[in-house]
Amino acid sequence: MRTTLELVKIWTEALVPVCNHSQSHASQELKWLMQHAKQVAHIQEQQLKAKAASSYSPNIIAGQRGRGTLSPHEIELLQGYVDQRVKSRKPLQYILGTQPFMDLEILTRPPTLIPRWETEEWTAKLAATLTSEPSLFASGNLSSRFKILDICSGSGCIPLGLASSLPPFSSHLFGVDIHPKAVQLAKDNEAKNRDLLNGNTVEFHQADLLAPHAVDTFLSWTREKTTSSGASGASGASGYNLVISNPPYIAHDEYDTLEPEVSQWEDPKALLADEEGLVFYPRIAQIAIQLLSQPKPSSSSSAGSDSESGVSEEGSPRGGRQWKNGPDLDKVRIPELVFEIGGDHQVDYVRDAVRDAGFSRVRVWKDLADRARCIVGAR
Amino acid sequence: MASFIGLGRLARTVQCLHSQSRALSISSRAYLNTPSSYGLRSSLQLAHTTRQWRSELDRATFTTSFPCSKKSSADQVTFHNPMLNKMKPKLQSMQELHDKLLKDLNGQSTDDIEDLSPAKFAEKTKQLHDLSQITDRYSEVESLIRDLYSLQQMLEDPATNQDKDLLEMTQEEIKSTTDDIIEKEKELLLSMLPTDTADEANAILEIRAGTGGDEAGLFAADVLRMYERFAERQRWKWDEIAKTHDGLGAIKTQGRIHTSTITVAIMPQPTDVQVHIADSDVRVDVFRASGSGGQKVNTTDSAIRLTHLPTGIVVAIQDERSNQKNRAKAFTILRAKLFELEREKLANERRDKRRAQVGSGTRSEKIRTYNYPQNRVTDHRINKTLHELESVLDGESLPEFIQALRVEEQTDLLMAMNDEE
Repeated sequence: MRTTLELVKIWTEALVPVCNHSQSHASQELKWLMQHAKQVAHIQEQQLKAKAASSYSPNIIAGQRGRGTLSPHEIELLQGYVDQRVKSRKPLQYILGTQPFMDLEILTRPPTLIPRWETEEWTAKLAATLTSEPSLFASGNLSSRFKILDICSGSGCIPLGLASSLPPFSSHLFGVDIHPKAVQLAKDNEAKNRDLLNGNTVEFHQADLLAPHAVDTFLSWTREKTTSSGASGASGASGYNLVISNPPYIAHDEYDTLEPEVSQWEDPKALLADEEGLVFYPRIAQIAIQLLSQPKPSSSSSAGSDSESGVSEEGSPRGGRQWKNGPDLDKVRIPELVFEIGGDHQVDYVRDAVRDAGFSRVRVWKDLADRARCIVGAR
Repeated sequence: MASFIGLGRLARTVQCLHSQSRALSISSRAYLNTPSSYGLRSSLQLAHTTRQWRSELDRATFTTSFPCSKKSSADQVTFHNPMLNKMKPKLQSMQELHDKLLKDLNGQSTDDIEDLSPAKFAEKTKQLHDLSQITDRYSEVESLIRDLYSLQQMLEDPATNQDKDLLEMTQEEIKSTTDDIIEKEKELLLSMLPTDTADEANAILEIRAGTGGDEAGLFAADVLRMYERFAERQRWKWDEIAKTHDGLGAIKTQGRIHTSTITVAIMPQPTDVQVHIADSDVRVDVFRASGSGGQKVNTTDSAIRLTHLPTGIVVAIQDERSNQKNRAKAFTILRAKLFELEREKLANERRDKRRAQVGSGTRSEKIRTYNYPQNRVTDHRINKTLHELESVLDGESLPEFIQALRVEEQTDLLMAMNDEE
């Protein structure tokens, strides 16, 4: 029989090809898989113990093992994981069942899209941007909360991540997806992470954004809450303050070049989009502008900021709202629309689509790998 | 000859270690982080260490030979601790400042109290409070010493000598008062030690394997375990921040036959305010897939590497599955490193100044040797050797070194204070 050490060597070698051919990354993945195997084995052992205790048949449980060695059961589990990883190219996150996202642990189940690090990064940035403007958030009943809609919400990571970072009891977030499996997963994620959401409410709905009455449907969720909470007829509070979307954006000809972890495991409907991956952007931008509530007269903007300081080289302000240059987002201080995009090649088209829909301020956010990752707009 | 030498930067390193705690590495590096630890000051109040190290203080620094003073003058007291006698002018000026502050704050001084802004008032109040920590003890010691003088006079009184019971009682009193004085004098000395706000902070301990290849990795693993056990024994909380193992760190090969070195560094964990890092000063590297990333790539490579451009410090973390978490950890470590760099610079300036005055020799880089075949651990800074390697590595005997180092540091600090006069 092989020692644990020999097995570790073999497994690491096996993982190298699926870990960008990096030895150190392969051993890191093995470490995570090993932790998982130990956890699973431990849980199974506990269950077995409970069973053994109830059926009066002791001595089923293996004795104590030394540190650093694996039990036969753990070895079996781990061998299975490595095979899934290497032979079936199953994504690590589907094996482990979770992916950390900001301070949350997001459940991952095939075929719903696994949260990407780029999405986590910009979601954290968005949360910090919103939080830096406390005047956005009025605490009070549900109807007066800051409302955010995430279209194509998948696992629900974006609204849940935002909820966990926004001020307590300040926001009401909605996620919508066309796929029932994704909606179910998002609801499970909400339940799993509810204690970490700062009292912010997150709900998920199944709906088709291409349906003729999508806008009405989306708006009805905020209205339902307004009336059911028995608020005074604050009709101005209906609608959303911010619309977000990470829609499918991979072009068909790109799809064939993807790694099997993506193409063979994740739902193509969450990845693929017609027209070079761009088909959803104009539609969502047009919906978004109708979903946004009337802008409140900005009380915080001083007389000085009414000057042309908010003008970007990309266009002059058309809306009634004035934006100050912030240190981070010089043109769009508080976003009203955030799109994740596929990269630099989609910037021009999406920017035009956003502007054409009526967002006069448009800005690009880059990710840590220095790629254009978000188009951010405000009226 | 198989000796293992700990390379350290400062005497401070291990002393801080005692007051705070932790971290370590297998084969190349590891960071552990204490969520809570004791500052130098507060740990002095721990019964289990205080007594121990006080005795060290007696032996190592101050003789307690009793200067049985014949002086009957109640105005002039002589401390038993020679160190305190040296510092008497300083104590007196502290007392004067204390009294003046008290007057100012009570509005009795010539300075108009109305002139004090609230901020100034608060500052003076704080200063007064800090000084009272010392002057209160000073008064206490003084009054004890006066008591002792009276007792000694009683002892010399023929009337006392004729009454056997009274004589015994007086002798008893003298003995207990003397014990009291010794205790209180030590407290007074300690209260005079300069405070370092960083002592209150959590600590980050970093161990790196140096020369010696795999052997150094094994050695680092041993020392990691030593500090872990030590922290457990002290009931300190700690977290592992990162641990990088290259190769098979846990496996012992036969025969340790080379000299290996590791470095151990202790850094206080600064707040964001204490160390502000400009975004433009840091280059952040992540795994960069070919193509354009996003939905197209599901990478599990969440490694983050920070490069601080002005100093060239590089911190790489890959333990967490989220690169945001790795990034946060890496920034924590980078901040601590920059903070330490700054502190070290200041400490060196101060030390150089002192060294010039005192004329002490140069510091060896070698701070501690772990000699496995000889079952010996020697700390070169204090020239202390223990022939119980296992017990040291188990964290049990480690405090013996730490306490001695601590006494050394406190003595140093007091001497430095005195030199500044």
